[in-house]
Amino acid sequence: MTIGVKSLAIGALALGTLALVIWKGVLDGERFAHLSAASAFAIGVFASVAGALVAWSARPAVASRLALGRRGRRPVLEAADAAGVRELPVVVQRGLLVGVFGCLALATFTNEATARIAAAPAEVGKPSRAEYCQPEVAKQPAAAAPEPEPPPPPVEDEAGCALVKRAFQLGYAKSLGSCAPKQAQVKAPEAQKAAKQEVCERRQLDEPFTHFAWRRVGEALAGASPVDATSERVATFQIRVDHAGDLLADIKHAITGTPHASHHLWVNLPDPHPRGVVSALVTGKEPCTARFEHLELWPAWMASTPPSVVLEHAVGQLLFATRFGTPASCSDYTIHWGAPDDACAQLAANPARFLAASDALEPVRGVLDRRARQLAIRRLADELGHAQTLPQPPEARAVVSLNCLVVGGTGAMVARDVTFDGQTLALREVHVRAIRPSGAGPVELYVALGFLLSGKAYAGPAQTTVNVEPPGAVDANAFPLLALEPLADADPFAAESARAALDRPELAEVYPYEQHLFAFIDAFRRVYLPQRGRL
Amino acid sequence: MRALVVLACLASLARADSYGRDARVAHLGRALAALRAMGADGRVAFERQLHDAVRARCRQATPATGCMSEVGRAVCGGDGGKCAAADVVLANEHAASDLVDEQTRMKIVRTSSDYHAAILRELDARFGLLAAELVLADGGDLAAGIDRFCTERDRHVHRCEPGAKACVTDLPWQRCAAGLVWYVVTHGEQR
Repeated sequence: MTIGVKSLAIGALALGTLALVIWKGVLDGERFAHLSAASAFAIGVFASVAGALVAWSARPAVASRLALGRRGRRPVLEAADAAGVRELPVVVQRGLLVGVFGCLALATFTNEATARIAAAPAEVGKPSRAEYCQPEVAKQPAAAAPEPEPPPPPVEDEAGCALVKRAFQLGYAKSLGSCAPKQAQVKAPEAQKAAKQEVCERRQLDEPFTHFAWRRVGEALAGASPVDATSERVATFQIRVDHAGDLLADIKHAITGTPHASHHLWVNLPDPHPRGVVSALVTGKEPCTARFEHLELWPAWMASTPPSVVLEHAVGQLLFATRFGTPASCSDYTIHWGAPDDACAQLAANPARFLAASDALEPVRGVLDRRARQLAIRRLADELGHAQTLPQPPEARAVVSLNCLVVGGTGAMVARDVTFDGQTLALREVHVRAIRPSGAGPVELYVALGFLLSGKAYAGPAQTTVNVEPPGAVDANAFPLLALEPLADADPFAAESARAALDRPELAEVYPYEQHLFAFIDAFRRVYLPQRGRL
Repeated sequence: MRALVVLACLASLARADSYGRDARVAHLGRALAALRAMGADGRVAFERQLHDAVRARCRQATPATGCMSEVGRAVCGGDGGKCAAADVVLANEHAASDLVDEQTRMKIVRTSSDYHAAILRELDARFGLLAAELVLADGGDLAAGIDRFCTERDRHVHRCEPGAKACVTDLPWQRCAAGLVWYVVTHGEQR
């Protein structure tokens, strides 16, 4: 017995499909119970059309040319002999094909999928939001007018404050703390933001194309004559051309890394880190951030420590140490070691020549030029009527400063203004007798540097103690802990008389440096940093 | 006036030779031993005696150290160990208004019936944090460890956010040492 390959193929396809749909649960009764009419129709259409198409191609009425037979026990494929070949009836073949495609459709055309397919033509036909004005969504009802603020409640004494007030009156407490009379809080009126009604200038949904086109042409020509419009464009272009140099220079400053500020300190002491030419070429310049990254709070300097090392440490602590809060940017600062004693006098006499001799001319000019370009770009925005994108740059004297510390001299601080490239810059000079690495020497140096850089003498910590010790001596042999207590209030940075304790090595070991140093540097930075700025 | 005060205090310091490392450690050791020997009740009574005497004689919110040392001398009566213990107690008493912030003190005034006991509790909480740092820092001899810890601690910045509970700000050596001696003795005996 031989069986035609068409019947075999259709039978195998039908069996395979049946196994698959049973495994996947496509023939569950629940699925049929919830099948929508649209899905059932789609399944029927798909099964009929697909089954008919495949059957038309397979021609089930014509017998197969090949048939699967058996020779002995081995299956063989041989040319079909029309008489001996068995085929499934035509109706059954067609029915199986329709059934196969029906099962596939049943698995595919779920209710949701059918609904989305049905809705696809409507979505495609919707007008584009970019091209057409969309109908407005129903607006929310206008918010009710805000009720007026109730008057502030009268000031009342808080419960439990009587004792505190009594303690304050008798002087046992420095302030009333949370028992102080409350200020009536005035609530700022909330800014009323009027929502702008955007006018849609795109094509209306019911607007004919020719009308829309005519409207656009009219809008383009309205408001100004072509001559005016052209002359305005020319004027704008001219303004931009006039400022092209400023724009390009600003970009150049950004790319080449022109400093944001340039502050200089000339000191008549040798460089604490002298380097040969070869060493500088091989290892390059040490970044200032690395040098000032880990500064010891109060190093135990020896008497033999070079004064320039002590000075560099003090400058680093004052300006760049992060332990004291917001620091300055060390890349903006340059210490010029080995300066002449009359550095500031030379600067005042001929700033350009002295700056050039100190390799400071380029950074100073760069910063001043960068500032001038930023001002020019702000003027450009004003002339074009555009909003400002750059902040107002700081004053020239805030981004460039010139200072001299003369060791070995005497005299009061000299503060004067010098004019350089049309800008007024501050020039300050301070003399110190010597820099003592030990004892109270570093304190004296801190005070002198703070005075030089900020221009103001240190007047004590921001929070001063109100308790003044009456005259009296504590027996430090019997009560050494108690005897040290006055040192916590005796600020060596504020009072020269308090520095004597620092000259005793064994006392210096238990001296409250950190407390006083923090207060000093905190007060210094509060005065100094607002005087400075960055571009 | 202020300069005179400072000069007077420094003059007294200059006469003393109590701040070499060995002298400091010996003093802290004496104080530890004396406070331990008093026992818990004895320490409380001793502290109360000094506090009452200071209040009676010095009559200031933050009494002067000169007056306090006179009180201490009167109470310890020339006993070296007792004087060392009194030094610890008086140093803590003098530093209390700096160690406990004003807001907390106002709260204590408002809510507590025994101000002194409440201040001692506040100090105890702060000294406990210090003691934890001490334990993490070092071992070995207690007096030497306290001295080393307190001298080194003040070489670094310790700043606290306002209202931070688990933080002790910068402390001068004598406040750190006095606080730790008191805390170690009182809590060591409790265990």
